[in-house]
Amino acid sequence: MTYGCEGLSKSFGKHSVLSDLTLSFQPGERICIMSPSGGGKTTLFRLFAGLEKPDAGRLIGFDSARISMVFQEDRLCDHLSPVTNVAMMQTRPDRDVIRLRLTELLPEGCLTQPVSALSGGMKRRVAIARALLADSDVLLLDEPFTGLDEESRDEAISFVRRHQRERLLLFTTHHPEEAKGMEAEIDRL
Amino acid sequence: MAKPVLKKTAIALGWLALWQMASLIVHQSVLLAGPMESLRALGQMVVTADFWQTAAFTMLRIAGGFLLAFVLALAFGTLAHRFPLTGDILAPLVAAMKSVPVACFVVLLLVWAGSQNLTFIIVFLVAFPILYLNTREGLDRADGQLLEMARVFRMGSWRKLRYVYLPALLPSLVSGCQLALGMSWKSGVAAEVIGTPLHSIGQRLYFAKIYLEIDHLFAWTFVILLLSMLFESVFLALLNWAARRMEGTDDIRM
Repeated sequence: MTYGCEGLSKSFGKHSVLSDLTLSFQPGERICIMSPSGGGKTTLFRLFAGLEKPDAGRLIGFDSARISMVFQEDRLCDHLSPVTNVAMMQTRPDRDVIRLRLTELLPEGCLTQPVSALSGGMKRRVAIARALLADSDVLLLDEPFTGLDEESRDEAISFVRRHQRERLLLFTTHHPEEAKGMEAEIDRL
Repeated sequence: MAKPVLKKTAIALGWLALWQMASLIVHQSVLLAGPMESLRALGQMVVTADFWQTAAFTMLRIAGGFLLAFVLALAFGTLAHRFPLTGDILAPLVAAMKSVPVACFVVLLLVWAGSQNLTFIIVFLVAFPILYLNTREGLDRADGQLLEMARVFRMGSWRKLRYVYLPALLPSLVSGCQLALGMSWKSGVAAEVIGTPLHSIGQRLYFAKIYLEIDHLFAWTFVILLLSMLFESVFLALLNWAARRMEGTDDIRM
């Protein structure tokens, strides 16, 4: 299965965000997409995720793929525990396994608290775990490590690498050291 | 814990004393019966089978009308949220139900359906628009970012309802239920007073007016208050229990 896009263009009003973009990816690849702010990274991910329609060009493979995503915002259900936030994305969730996986990123005491009671960094780690532990074929991580301190970021990077499995992983960042830590190939828009 | 209870009891006793004093000053029980006389009347009523039959008649019809309104408001509110055209089609009907005075509906229903099912239909007509509009408002308030997230992760309809819509819907639905329950009792009993269906609380209130039995009027008013409070507490407790179970917050330990 190949994923990608051909001649992809997207504008908002008169502002062209993406123009005639062609990319190709294989399952299991780990690609870091870099560009200056406003360079169209988030728009590209929204197109891949089916949240925007391209003005021209076509997407390859994404329509039929199960996608999990870390958005720039955490987008968690604040009143629920981290375990439930992760479990809701799985077809047959095993809460004990989820709890075990989450302890790789979070102190055990946090797992029975509502997400609203967690710090910003902890919420981010729940969002990362939700995407990685979901049943999916493609992982889209839009600036996933924003708001994490150095130690948490390293833990999160290890977690992502451990749980990527044979899935295509695309992520964006402004920090080359994150791309390096992820041992990812870099694509510049 | 003890202090607020004591305070509330003292306030209630103060008002009762004021009522008793007022009735002593007026000194005519056909104008203003005191709390003791009303209590005595209530005591005489509750030992009769007729009292329980009357209370059950009104309670069942008000509860039935409200529950039907609740179920249909949830169904049509969801439909109108999902398909706005449904909302547009229902809008004139809901506006009419909201603004037409209960008395007009009562007269029409007396002609069309007779008095025995009057309470049930009136309560439905009063409660439905409140619950329907609150359901729509709650669903419309669901977090757009979470809905996008649910779309990307291809969450099923049940999970989306449970985790995204329910938290948005619940506050609006609970406040709608509180308002609709209060209105149901007021309008239901008022309709009974006008239509005087047999064995209804409204009919008893009407008789109390005809025979100037103000102590019975107060006693029945007390019964209405008690029944409405009881129904509201039980219904809201059940609603909250069901919502908590659905929401999936069982594993939260604060």
